[in-house]
Amino acid sequence: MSSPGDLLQSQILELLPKLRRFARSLTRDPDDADDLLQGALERALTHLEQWQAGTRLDSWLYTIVRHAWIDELRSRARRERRMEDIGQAEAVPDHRGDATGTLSVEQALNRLPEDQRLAVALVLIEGLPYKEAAQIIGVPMGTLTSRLARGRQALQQLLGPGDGA
Amino acid sequence: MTIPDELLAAYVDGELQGAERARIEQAIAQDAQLAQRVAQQRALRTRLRGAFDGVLQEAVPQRLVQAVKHGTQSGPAQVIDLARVRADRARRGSGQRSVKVRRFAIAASLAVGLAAGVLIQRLSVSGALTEFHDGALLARGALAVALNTQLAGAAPSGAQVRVGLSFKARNGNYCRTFSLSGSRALMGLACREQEQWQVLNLLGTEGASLSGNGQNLRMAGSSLPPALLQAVNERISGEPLNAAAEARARSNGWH
Repeated sequence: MSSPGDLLQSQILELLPKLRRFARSLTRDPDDADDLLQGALERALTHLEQWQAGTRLDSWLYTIVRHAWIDELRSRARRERRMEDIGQAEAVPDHRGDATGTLSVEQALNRLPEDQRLAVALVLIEGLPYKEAAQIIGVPMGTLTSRLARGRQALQQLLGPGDGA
Repeated sequence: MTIPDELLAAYVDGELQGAERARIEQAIAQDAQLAQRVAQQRALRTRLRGAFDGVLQEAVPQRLVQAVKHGTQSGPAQVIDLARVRADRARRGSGQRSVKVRRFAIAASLAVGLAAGVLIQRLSVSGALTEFHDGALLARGALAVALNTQLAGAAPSGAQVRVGLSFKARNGNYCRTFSLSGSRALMGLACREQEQWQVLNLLGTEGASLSGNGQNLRMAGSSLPPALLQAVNERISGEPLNAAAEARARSNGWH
């Protein structure tokens, strides 16, 4: 016997690989990514009633992961400020592969500003339609497409001409 | 024809339909430079996917699976299915335990003792449902009859006792969950001990899904409060009995 809760549960389980991929494209570190996702899942499951039937479950979950990520970035920023205050800031910029075309895809993605990275992750990696991606980020379509365009352009420059050139 | 980057990107991203799409495709076919721009865009997509798609092939860490399972289990519905009973047992085996479930268990669990006995006596309508014997709470009356004869989820309408799921415990004895309707609904777990049904867990269940006239009871093998679920998990060997295995056990007198 199954209930709506069971059905949702199995659907969320099916989405876990994609959610992990999304979390990893945000956090750069596999363990951080799973931590982020775990926190987001706990948040999602205590608010299951907020998911509206008829809307995409994956988009709802991506949104929660995004919120969890923003929270994480904020607390990281606070930590860093505290470190600076006590003179222990460790600024180790990643200059590996700075010459154009020798960066890995992950390194290049990490160079993007957060808003562009999110647009690129949702559309180019997760393959979501613009409309869904814009809703997840909470911006109008035009904002999404311009962030996406700038992100693409930056990536092309950082990575050099791809195989299709 | 000049095509702006964003339009070309929208084409590559599958956002264009119909005439607009056809127009771009026609332009690409006639313009090698445009075709190259499209190829570059596609290559970028492929590279990005290639860098992250490996995650999809990885086994999902158990802690994430458990985060989903615990979450829905402790949610408002508190409905379990057989797979979840199994998974929860596996989780217990691996030493992880949901804090939430534990909290529920402590809050809701009612130790079998005199208080529960009194509670159940008071609730009993057609004679005593339980009896203390050598320190054990044994099923009697309608409860014993139902545990012996009722198939899970097949309680007659208006029945005072409803049997939920049946399973074989690790010690080889059969166990069954049950619910009792009345002024205060109770749910419990009984296992066979020396030719009798011994009530091992009993807990009061308050809340909309379990109160009322008994028709609302959602005990038909699919719903257990977390505390009772935990008691089941602690004893169960393998999976709950399916209808055929349960009928067989009944005709063998629960031996």
